[in-house]
Amino acid sequence: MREIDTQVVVIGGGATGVGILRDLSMRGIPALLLEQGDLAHGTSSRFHGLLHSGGRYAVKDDKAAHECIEENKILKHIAAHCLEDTAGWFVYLKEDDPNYLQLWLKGCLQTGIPVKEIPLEEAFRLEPLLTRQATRVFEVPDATVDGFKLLWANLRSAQKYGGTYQTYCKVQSLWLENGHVSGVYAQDLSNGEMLQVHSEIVVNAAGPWSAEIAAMSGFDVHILKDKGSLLVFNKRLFNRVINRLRTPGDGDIFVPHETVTIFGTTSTEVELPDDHQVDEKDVSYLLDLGQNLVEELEQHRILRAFAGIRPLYESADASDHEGRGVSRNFALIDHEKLDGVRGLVSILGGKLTTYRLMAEKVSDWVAAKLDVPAVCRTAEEPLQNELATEVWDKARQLIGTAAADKMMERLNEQAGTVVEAIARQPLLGQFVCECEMVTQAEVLHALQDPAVHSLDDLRRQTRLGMGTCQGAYCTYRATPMLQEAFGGWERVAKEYRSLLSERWRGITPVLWGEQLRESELARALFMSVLDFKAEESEG
Amino acid sequence: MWDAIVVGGGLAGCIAGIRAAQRGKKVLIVTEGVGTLYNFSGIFDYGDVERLREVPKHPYTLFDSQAIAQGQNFVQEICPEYVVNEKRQFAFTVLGTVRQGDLMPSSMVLPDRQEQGEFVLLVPEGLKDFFPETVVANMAREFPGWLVSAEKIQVEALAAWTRLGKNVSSIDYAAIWRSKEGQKVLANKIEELNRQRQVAGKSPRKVVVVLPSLVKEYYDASRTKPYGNEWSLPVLEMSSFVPSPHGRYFAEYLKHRVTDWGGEVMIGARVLALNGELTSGSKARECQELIVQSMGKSLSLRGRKIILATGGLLGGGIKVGMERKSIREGVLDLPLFVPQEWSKPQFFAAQPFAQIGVETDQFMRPLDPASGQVVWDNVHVIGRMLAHWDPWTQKCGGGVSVTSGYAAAELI
Repeated sequence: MREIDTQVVVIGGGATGVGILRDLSMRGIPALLLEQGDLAHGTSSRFHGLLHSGGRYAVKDDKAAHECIEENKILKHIAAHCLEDTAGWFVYLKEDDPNYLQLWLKGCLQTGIPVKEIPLEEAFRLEPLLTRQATRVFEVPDATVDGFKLLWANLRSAQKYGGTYQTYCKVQSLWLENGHVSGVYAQDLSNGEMLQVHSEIVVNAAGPWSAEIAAMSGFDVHILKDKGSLLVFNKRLFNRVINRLRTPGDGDIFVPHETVTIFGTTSTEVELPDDHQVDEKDVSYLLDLGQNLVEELEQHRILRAFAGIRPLYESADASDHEGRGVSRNFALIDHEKLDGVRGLVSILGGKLTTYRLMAEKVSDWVAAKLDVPAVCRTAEEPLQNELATEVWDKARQLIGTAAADKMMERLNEQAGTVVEAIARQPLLGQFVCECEMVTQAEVLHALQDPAVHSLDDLRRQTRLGMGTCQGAYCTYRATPMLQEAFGGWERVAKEYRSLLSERWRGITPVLWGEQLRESELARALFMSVLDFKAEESEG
Repeated sequence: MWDAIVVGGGLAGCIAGIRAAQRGKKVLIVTEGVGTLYNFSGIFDYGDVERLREVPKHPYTLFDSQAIAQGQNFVQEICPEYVVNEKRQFAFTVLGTVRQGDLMPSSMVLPDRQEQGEFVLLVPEGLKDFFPETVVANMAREFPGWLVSAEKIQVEALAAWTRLGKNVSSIDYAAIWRSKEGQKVLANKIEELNRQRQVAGKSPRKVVVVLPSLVKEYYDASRTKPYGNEWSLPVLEMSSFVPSPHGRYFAEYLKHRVTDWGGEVMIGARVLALNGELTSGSKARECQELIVQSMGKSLSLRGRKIILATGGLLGGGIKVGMERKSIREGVLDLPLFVPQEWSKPQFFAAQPFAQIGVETDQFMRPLDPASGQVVWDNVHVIGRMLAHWDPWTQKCGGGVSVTSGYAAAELI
């Protein structure tokens, strides 16, 4: 058994956990983050990617709305490179409730969410696909956020301040002694080794898994696991976030991201924290609803469907057990008060927009426990430094402006070494992924990260396999680099199989139209041209 | 009035068109593009024909072994470079792994593993989607005991381009190897390799040069000049990745074969509508006229027979609408066999949706799956439009397309 000594263990490598790691590290508190899978494999990458302005909560949940608008402003300052400041529209349709409209306008005014009405004619000119059933359109400071980029930017910042993390490391139990938590026992899933991590404080930030973590020591936290299904269209249907101006419900948000649009969501209570499969019924249901905002939605191509689990916090006295009714606020549970165990805290609920605030609250609590006077600086210090213009110019020269800008956003300060590599060996500037414009040099760079254990991990870092081909071409193109990193053809072939199968899970619920055709092409490429053996299907 | 109008200019449609023209029929191919021919690796797969003929409703059940052999002979007749051996034959994939193939160009057929030779992989500078290290490692693993090495080969015309880090598609390299300049570069390189080996002393090993992006086939004497000189070492082709130079030259060659025999090809044409009426004395109808949109104009085309070769799901002949609310055959709106279960959870499994297609009688005339009745008397359905098969898991894509295309031409 390997022994590790630290001051704080953070369980969970989602946005909240990594945000906490950054905050603690900036305060000089040694911390180790443990994650059972890859970073961001759960809710932090399985959402619509909307940075809320708070408009969605303006009527029902003014506290959440207020937190959203405040955090929205902060993130636009500290994480500009992870966001696209698209603005968002709330669209009021002919048959929608006029009372809600009035309440909404009042709510926005009270919570300080700036609202500007867009004349209809201009709205239709700016967003031609918007339904002609729209009668009023209001603009709010919504934006889109790339959950992966945001998370990695937090991680790099945390590392700079001494924060450490380990992925594929599953916590097995909490280590309790005399009413105090003394650390955790965990297993390194990559080699089976057991770890005994000693710490003064343990933070449970495991999102949908946080009830499981607490239950390891018999503690009860109330988490409602609320599954939301989403669809990915192959293009930008809109240039702004489009919300429907009505009581928040299913299928009323379109969010443009890079070259695609994400549309969601649904809300279904589920048992398992990783129940990510979307079924065709959810898809049909969403498409019906989507018709309200985009006429002839069926003309557009869907790349895939995916689902995430919202870990909604349910206080013990909550009477409303419906997913949408539960507050999107978060709660910090001090288990000393609840269960008589010192040093253990659970952070529950919340949403990606407020991840930083949640991290701040947790870190304040930790700092108080440890008598560390340092205060939170995460709202002021940007996640990335100003990028050197020489690097940027050189990158543009070598691989073109569009590709260079995308790469700089993904890599920030680390772009320098990649640009150098391409300058030395220009053919490394060839694209592996043409949708996301990922070069060979960038893939090689990402593969050097010890946390990349598989092609799927690589996908989360580089967006390889997320575009139109869904991995058919770009995984093939990553062959020489994978071979070098993972060693051996057998292993590479195995990686192809598992990535394509992972992508397939999201494609099967929307298997029609051009995506079906694309899938036939992928099958032809892999099973005929490259001669991969067919698998016997089970059952 | 045409003897036959073939809708679709992919493999099956071209084979039907060529054979019909060769038989002296007045034939027209109407096609939007070249179908999936540009994905053609250079190899025809027939699969385990005897076993597949036992699979209920598989297209092979429509043909006897003679018909299958006829199709195969026809490919060899029009492409003399294609060989069938008694022994099973193998070729390199673009990754350097080894795959079986039933009908392939002789210069693609791998030597016997027992021969203990040496492979020299020629790597064209900047060749896109080609990974020499992986290929060398795979070749060495597949041919234990063989020496495997890689050598760069550069073409002056592309030097400035690749120096900038720009890659070159295999389609472009193939064109170079088929040009006079390219041939000279290649001949010099191979001669150099040969000399090096002679200087190094006598080695009993057989030396085989392997060159990706090389396409030595599909020359038609009237238009293109084939290789004049033989090289001093044997040169092996690899099967192609997409976009495939084999597919490109093969598609062109097939088109020329149709027209050389007096057939016609209309590319960029889409069928908009049709006219037909009940045949007297039976229930089946006869399609007499196709309305085709081409170059912004509508044309009326009349034919005695209509051959439908529009390529199924991948070729675009079957359109599946959102939520599968509509599933249509795009030209004649033929009734389709649609499997109940649509997909399997594993990507690499035999997928039920692949079985979608038109059910036919033994003359490949479309049937209504519900009644079992022929719906069009003078329509024959071929290639990927046929129901109840999966070319990728059953490895019989070339076989079904060639056999059905050839057989349909015999019915005109």
